[in-house]
Amino acid sequence: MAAPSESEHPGNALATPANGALIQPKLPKLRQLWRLSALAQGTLLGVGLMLAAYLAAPSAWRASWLLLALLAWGGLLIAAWRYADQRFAAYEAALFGGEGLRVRRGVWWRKEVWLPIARLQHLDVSQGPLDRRWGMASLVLHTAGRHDHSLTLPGLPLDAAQALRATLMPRRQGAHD
Amino acid sequence: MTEPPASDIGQSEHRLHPWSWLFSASHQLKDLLLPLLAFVFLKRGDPDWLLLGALGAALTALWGVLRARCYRYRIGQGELLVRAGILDRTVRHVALERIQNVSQRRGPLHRLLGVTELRLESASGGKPEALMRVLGLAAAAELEDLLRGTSLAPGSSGPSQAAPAAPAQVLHRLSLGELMRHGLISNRGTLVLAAGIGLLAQSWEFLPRGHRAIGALLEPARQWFARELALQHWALLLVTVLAAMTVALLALRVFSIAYAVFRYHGFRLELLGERLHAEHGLLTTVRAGARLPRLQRLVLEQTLLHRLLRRCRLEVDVAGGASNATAHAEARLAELAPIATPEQAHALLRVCVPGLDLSTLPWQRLHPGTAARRMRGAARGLLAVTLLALSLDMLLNWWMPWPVLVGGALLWAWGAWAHARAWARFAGYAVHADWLVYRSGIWTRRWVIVMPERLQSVSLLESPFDRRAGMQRLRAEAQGGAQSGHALDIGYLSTQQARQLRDLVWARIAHA
Repeated sequence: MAAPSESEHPGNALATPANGALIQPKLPKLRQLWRLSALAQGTLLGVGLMLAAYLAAPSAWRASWLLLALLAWGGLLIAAWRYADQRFAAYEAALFGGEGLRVRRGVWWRKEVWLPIARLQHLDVSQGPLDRRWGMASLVLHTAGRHDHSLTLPGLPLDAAQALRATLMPRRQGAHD
Repeated sequence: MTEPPASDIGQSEHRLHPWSWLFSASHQLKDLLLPLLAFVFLKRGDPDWLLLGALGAALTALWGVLRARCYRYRIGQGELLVRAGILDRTVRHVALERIQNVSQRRGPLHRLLGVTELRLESASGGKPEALMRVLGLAAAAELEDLLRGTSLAPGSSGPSQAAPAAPAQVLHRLSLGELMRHGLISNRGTLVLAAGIGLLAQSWEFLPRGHRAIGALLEPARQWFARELALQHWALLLVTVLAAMTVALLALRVFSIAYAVFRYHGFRLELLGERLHAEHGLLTTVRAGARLPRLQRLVLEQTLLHRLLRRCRLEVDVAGGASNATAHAEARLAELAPIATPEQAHALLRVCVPGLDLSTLPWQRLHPGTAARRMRGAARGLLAVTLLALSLDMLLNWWMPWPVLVGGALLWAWGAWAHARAWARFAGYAVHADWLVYRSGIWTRRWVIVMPERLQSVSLLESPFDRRAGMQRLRAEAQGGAQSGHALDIGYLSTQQARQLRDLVWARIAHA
């Protein structure tokens, strides 16, 4: 069984109190991963910004334009860092025993997906290179829906991901159709 | 040929129809035909290349013939057993009750030879479980009967009049007049035009002389136009251009009508037990079927033209089989009625959803701020456009007096407000027994009808704008239907309404 840890990560703004929700653990390393990816995107944007400033500036003003671009870049990186933290805080997966999963995510555009166990087609546990180093795994849930037919739960401890898969799997036999 | 030990008794193995080799070979050749033709024409006059091309075609055709000869099927003990393949022999067992959709396709040649192409699909999506190219009509009917018999067994929520030996009950048919109305409304003329242009472009290389003749026909018109342009006869030119555009628009509608007649000629929707069958087509006849409990979503649509002619359209999404290949998409049940009067459409709806009456449903309006929210969205765009136009006008030294621009913007804003109000007034949702209905639109009105129990997942979405207005959006996914778009997508719900709906859907799917 997946280790419940409600106290550690209480639900956020979209909360509806639901009885018997097992909040799935999420590793703090996931925040690290998201920070890294946000920083990488910020860096890419920043390089573009600097290049644009260098090319667009009149030659007399070049130094000051570059300085401005540098400041903007710095701001961008700080914003990216904070955004990653907020994204991590907003992300939550909860298991309702025998019914299904509720997954919340998103900082500005928030989304709350409800996925019934009876509709799960198959489940994958996947690990990227960083995941492996950190003992982390993603559980990918597939449904038969035409749209949004797969849902990824990142940042689960490997054993929790496997336990969750085991919890969800036996129901497959009863799936109708 | 060694037979594997047959586990079932009584049922013999069937082959395809004796004419199958022809269709199998031509199917194999179809993909090869265009490159082959181009190849032969480009290397014109070289007998060696011609021979090579002919040899390639002959080998491909032979492959097709062999494939058709190796195809066997057998029915017994509740399963369909298909053995196929020449080098890699495959044996496939398909449980009969898993077969959800049965469709037939008959081109002119099929009809001449009295055969049909049968396609059996399960709910899993992707490739069909079995594609029988081709079967005799009697064999196909026998197979269809067998499938109908088995799929009735699991008790489900279909109407209770379903009986194994029930005679076909015709629910809807279309007369020529209706077909023409449908063509007029649906406006698929551009489709015909695009196909024509494509054909012209492809045949350009092969028929240079024919195309030169078309050019010669158009030449006098071009010369006349150039002369009048030089003489600056503006009024005449304007009238000519307008007339030409009118003729073109009319021609498009005529094309559309022709397309509708070709595609939907002889349209007939019938109910066999709990299976719906639709059959239509002038040259190529398509027959598609689906079980009532497999219907995922019904959509009643009424455009402005529909309303003027007092008609509407009833579409349906059926689970199973990915419709990504367009060639396959046409051979599946997608419309219960391409066109119908509102009364007929309601009667059809009641076959699928017992007791449903859209006009007397307890409609619930969306969030009271819906109109204002939509207006804010429109106002943002309007403000940007107005400011842009004003600054452009200023650069042009007030070529147009600014009050005109501002007046136009105000008029537009009024229109947008009226639009937003009308939208909010009509939009709403209602719950009817096991069904959920959502209606929306102004010019084109749509009623989306889903059964929460058959949905796959449900989600709530909230944008920053939603959050400020206290709104949420509810989305739900189903099997089948269009690749883009959700089965159900209701915006501008109050947070409370959204949660209620989510709870309603969740209660039905989580314990299914």
